[in-house]
Amino acid sequence: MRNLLLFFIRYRSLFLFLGLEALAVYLIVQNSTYHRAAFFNSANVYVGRLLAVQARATEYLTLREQNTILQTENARLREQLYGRQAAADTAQAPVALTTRADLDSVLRPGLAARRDSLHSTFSGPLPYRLRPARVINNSIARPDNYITLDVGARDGVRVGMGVVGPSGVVGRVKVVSDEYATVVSLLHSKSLLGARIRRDGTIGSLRWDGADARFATLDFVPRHVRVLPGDTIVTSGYNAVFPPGIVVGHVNRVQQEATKGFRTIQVRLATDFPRLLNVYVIESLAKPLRDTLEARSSYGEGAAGMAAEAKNAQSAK
Amino acid sequence: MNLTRELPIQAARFALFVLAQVLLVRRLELFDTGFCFLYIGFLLFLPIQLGRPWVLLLGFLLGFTVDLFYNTGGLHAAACVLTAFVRGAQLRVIRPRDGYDSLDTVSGHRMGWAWWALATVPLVFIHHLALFWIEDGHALPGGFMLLKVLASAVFTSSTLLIAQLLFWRVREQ
Repeated sequence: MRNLLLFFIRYRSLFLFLGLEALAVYLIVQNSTYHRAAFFNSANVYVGRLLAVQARATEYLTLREQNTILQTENARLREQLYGRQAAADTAQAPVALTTRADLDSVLRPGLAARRDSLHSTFSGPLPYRLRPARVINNSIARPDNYITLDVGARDGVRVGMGVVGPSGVVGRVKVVSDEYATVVSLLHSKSLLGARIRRDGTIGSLRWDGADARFATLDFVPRHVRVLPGDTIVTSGYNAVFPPGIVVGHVNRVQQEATKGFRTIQVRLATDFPRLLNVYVIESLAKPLRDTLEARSSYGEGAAGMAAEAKNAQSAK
Repeated sequence: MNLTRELPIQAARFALFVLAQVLLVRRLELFDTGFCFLYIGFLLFLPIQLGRPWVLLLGFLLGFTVDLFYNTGGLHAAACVLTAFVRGAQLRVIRPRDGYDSLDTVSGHRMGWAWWALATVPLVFIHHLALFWIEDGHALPGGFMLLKVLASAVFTSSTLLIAQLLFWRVREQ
């Protein structure tokens, strides 16, 4: 016993070294699991505060650039708005009865009204709420990159919400403290994003290959699909984190792989990660409804569960 | 080594090195290959007579603090603890013929710049190698990773040299 004790004392720094390394490795492993919340990170109050002070001091240096970025975004949004207004105006104009739906609406007005209400309950545009936020910490050069935002649980931010920038998708919230949130950047070795090619609706999955902050790779696009450089890649909206149709990037290069059934497509990301400052956290108001719905349908409970959940969501609003 | 005199000095150094790292040096990236990890200067310039367990513990604390800002879990902690462990052996290997004087510190002004380089550059290299290798996550080091290690080691070492020349007091020999 005494010898054992002496042995430990003799080699105490070696054992301390091994113990501390084990602790460090444990912290690394705990942090690197993509979904599990790690406790020690930049959403921490003191770390967040220091980073916020720094961001406040340095953001003046890029004000001019940031204003241009936001103005460009405004211009694009206005274009969409005017387009919609124009479409709404033409829709109000009298139209000839050409489709079966038109006929139905004239002959059986009750049916059309019922279908409209059904439409808005289930498949109408899902409501989303956007919260503006500032980036106070950002990295792009590492294999796994994170972003810290100056909004937290107090502002209604929750784990798992999507984050978009002025020009495209940014990432997903990983950890939330009261005042700050840590976001897994799209530039993360384990981030996967459901995406589609806007032109023809082909589904693919977007991942970052870890080398260049400007490019990502779109996988699982079948070989028979024609993909052209310049095609716009948007979110698929299949997971209710991001609304469908948010721009992710544009096809830069298409690689033919002779041995595989799929193509590898290099995508130039729309978001300018090195200059990211103003972002929005997306809360999907329909997400709880949709998640339970999908969980239930996979258990085969069917329509009864759906209706009940729809009612719940209505009353929650 | 006088603990009551040394403790506030080392605490201030810890704060200064960490703040300099996370507020200023973190932004310095040369062509996405050269990174500066100035903060390990705190570990490397600890008093020579400080016991090895203390160096290990302080190394862990240093790395862990930096990890908080970099969102890297325990990556810097692992690299720093390894550096702290090797530092003990390295200081013994490059010991002057008649041992260390009680006034000796890891300072180029006092010990000569050749000795200082031997006490600093290999440890910087080991720290960066561990850091990038663990972060990379592959069993074998890739070419780009080794390039990053080399470029960053040169970058960090020169920054440490500049820091010593600027801020360390030149004592009368």
